[in-house]
Amino acid sequence: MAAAFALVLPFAARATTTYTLQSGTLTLTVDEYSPTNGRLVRAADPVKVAIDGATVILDPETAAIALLDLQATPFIDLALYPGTPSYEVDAYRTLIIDAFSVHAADGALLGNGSGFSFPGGATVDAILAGAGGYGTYASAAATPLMPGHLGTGSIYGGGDSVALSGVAIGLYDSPFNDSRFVITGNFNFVATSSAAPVPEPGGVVLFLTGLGVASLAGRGRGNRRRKGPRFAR
Amino acid sequence: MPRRSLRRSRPAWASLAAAGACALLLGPVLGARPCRADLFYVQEGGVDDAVGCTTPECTIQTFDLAGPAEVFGTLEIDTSVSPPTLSFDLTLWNTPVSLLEIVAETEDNGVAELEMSDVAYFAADLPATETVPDTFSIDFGATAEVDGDQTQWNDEDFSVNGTPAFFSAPDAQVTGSCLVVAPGDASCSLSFGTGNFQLDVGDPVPAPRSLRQTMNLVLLPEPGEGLLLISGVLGLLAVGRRHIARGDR
Repeated sequence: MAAAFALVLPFAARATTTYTLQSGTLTLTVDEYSPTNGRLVRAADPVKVAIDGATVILDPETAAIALLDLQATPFIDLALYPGTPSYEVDAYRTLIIDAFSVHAADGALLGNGSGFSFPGGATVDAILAGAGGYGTYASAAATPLMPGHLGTGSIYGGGDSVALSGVAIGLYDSPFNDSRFVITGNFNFVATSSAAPVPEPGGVVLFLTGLGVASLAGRGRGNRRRKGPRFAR
Repeated sequence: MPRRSLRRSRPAWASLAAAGACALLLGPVLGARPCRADLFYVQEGGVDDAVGCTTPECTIQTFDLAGPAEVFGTLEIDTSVSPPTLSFDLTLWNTPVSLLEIVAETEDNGVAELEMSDVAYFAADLPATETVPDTFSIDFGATAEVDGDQTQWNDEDFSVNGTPAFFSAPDAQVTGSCLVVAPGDASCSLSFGTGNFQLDVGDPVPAPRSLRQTMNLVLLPEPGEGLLLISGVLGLLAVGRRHIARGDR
């Protein structure tokens, strides 16, 4: 029992719940900025794709959202508008988004658990490829020009399932030329708790204490029973 | 004479110095973003995602957006105050926000389509946080006013539930972020609802449905601002040249 106490006590008393994706969508919007002509334009029609994986770790007791992780691998071809620099200058007609992912840790729950933010920032990654009149550009991780941005979002539910909405923005070097792509991902998904909540260490201590007390009481009763007939005599 | 010339040339040099100082002051406008209120105009974009759900959690979605709907208007980011604030005054263009039943011929409470037109989205001085430089996120708890006209159609294309009618959501939850890509150029994403954005939908007994509309916008500076700036600088240069010319005479 002493060993059990020694193992349990150093841990903080926290109960986190891990939620994994049930279903959700990500709307991707791409804008292109050309430093050459100093113009920002919408690059293609926004597309709504399925989210392939998401993990959320919540700790309502400390009003923390320990982790938000989501990935989409749409492998989607976006037809670039004729007015974009990539189309006009380099004859690239298609921007291919192979993957878009968001990773953020150590966030906070806001408004009694109905919102969230990640003051420490986030990682927003994209894998891009391209195709055009002069050939193709192989799939590669886009070079970010700023730390990823994960805006303040909303969260509903708790217990067995949660629903999250938010927006992530990344600014990347164009794979084609010296222009830049702003990729905005608006996500909405429902996640369910994948397993029973991690037992709160404090609860384990209480349980072991209770067990110890119960066994001591049992021993005491056993002694009294043994003593009983002697007093009766 | 040389003395007089020097005296007369002084105002010319002073003018040039003033022009230089002015250019230094205006430099940030053309270069890095200074602390001030930036007014942007919507250049492209609009509502490109919208849903209708039975609850704010949106675990059961009954309506989905039929197609994008463009918006126009202004958005202002004020970095001269702490925290920075974000304001907007946006209106739908001609295309309404049309929400269709998820599966054809499966009305939600007797409604197949929910159409919202002439919708105005307004909020002033919403506190925001600059999480990374030039990226602003509206602080949680912000609300916006969303109002317009709504019509509910059934599968037989009859309007139901006493519509068309005016609707108003004075405290619709709004979240969103803006990235100022370059001075005067910004990409913004705004999401209205589902919190406090509800409509009674259905016939003959309407039931509340939670709505969410998300818009992604490309924003550029006020069209006149650049012209004013250029004409001002040109004016200063002209004045400076005239003063120099007088001094040389």
